[in-house]
Amino acid sequence: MQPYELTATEASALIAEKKLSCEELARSTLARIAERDPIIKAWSYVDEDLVIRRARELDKTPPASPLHGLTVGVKDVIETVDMPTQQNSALYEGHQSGQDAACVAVVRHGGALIVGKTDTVEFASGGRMAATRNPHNLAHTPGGSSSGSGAAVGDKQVQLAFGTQTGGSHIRPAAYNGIYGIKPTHGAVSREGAKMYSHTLDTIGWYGRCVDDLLLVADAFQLLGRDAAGPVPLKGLKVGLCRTPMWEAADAYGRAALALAGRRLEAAGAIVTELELPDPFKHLDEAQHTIMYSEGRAAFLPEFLGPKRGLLAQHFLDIVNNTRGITPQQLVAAYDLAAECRRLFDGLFGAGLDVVMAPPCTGEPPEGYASSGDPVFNAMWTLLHVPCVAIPVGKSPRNLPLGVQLIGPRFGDMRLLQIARACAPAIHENDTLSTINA
Amino acid sequence: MAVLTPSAPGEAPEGYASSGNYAFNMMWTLLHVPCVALPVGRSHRNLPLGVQLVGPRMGDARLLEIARSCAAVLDANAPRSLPQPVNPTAQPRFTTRTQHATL
Repeated sequence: MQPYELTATEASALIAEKKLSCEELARSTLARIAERDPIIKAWSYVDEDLVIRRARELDKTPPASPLHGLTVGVKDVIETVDMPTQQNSALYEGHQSGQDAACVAVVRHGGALIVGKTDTVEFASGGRMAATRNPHNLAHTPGGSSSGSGAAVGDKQVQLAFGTQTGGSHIRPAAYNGIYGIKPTHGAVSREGAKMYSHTLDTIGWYGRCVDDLLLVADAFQLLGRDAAGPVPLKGLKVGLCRTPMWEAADAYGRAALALAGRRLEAAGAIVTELELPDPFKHLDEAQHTIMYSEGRAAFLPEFLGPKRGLLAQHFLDIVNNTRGITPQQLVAAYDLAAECRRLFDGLFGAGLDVVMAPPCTGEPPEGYASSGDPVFNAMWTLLHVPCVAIPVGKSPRNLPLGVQLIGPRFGDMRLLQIARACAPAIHENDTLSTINA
Repeated sequence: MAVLTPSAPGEAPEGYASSGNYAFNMMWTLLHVPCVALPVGRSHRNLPLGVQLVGPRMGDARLLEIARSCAAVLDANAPRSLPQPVNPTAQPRFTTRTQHATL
């Protein structure tokens, strides 16, 4: 086994025992990237010399945390002090900010090795697509907008990576690339230093190769409730299987993956029941659009007014010009619906419900690269601000990964990760992606 | 319709150890509503005193129009006599209608 194949958790233990050096892991990682990047195109920037130099510095430094030496990719809408942040936008070509984004600083201070920047849909919003391909089937999209981060972890080019979600940009690529991912509660992790799209929706998330990898990073962010969240037994765990009001949009494989995950959990001792969401939830998808595009108006106004306006895609001109004609009354109503549904959703949890399980995407990743897929199974949860964890289930006969997502109440991130840790071995059988027939 | 409310407890505190009390602000910040501060006059120590107008969410443009109308009579930059210190127990010396918010 090469060092690049180790999960973050495995590598962390070896580095702590001095059986693996940060430089060895870095060199193995860079070799993997060099081999695969011409095909997968996950990266927008990697400076090999810089990575080796930083790895050697880490080998000279006592570990500050279990993240010491672990390899991290950073979506190219998130600022890094020592690498450009180009947003996949002609407006930001060669742009380098003066400091790390908050999320980068937190893991860097913990000793993580920032390997490079991963390709993204322009501004994590629209316009230009990433060049990235799905590592499991090159004819298909890896999803987006966190395209490069999802594919890089899915192709074992890096152990951990940051993504962002405003609609469905983080959890959907996790499912499409057959990996684990968490979109934490909105605001639990500082979003400072990531390009602004929608200030009440934008959420920093991260990918890993197992739930323990996600937990390593969650610990670094010192999330609320981390001291209270111990291991959760799978036996008797009450799982609400939720088709959501968007079920019609799911394809046969997406439906089969959710059903299979439910059966596997039941066989492992969990209590799985169907959960139907209250009526107001039917309007959350529309409310998410209203809020995202309205807040996006303010976010993209500086680019719109600047000298490089001509380089902006129509998508951004439409947002700033409010071509959808969103009124102040519609925006306030959308905020109020979200507030009402957040209270209702959190109230579902308790004696009768530990966790919600829902589709993370419509099913198979679409063929081609023109679309990064439909965010319809993500937008509602993003608006609710609730934590979501993606778990792989299997793959379609075309070798395309299929998954589910587990969802908890707001600020229940640490307990949700413990629940995911208990569920993952049952859902993701034998750690392999067995074929699911629809 | 706008809400007229204090923008600060009163005079700016003496010294530099404190930048003042934000008790009259944090509620409105949490409500996400637009607030416009308006000067009213000065205390005997030449310290500015003000009020704020508060409107509903996304009602910024209308609130600014209301503020423009109010500013002309509240203070603007016109020289004016110094107001006497107000007895905290005294009733406001202007006609008003108390509205109790119902939730």
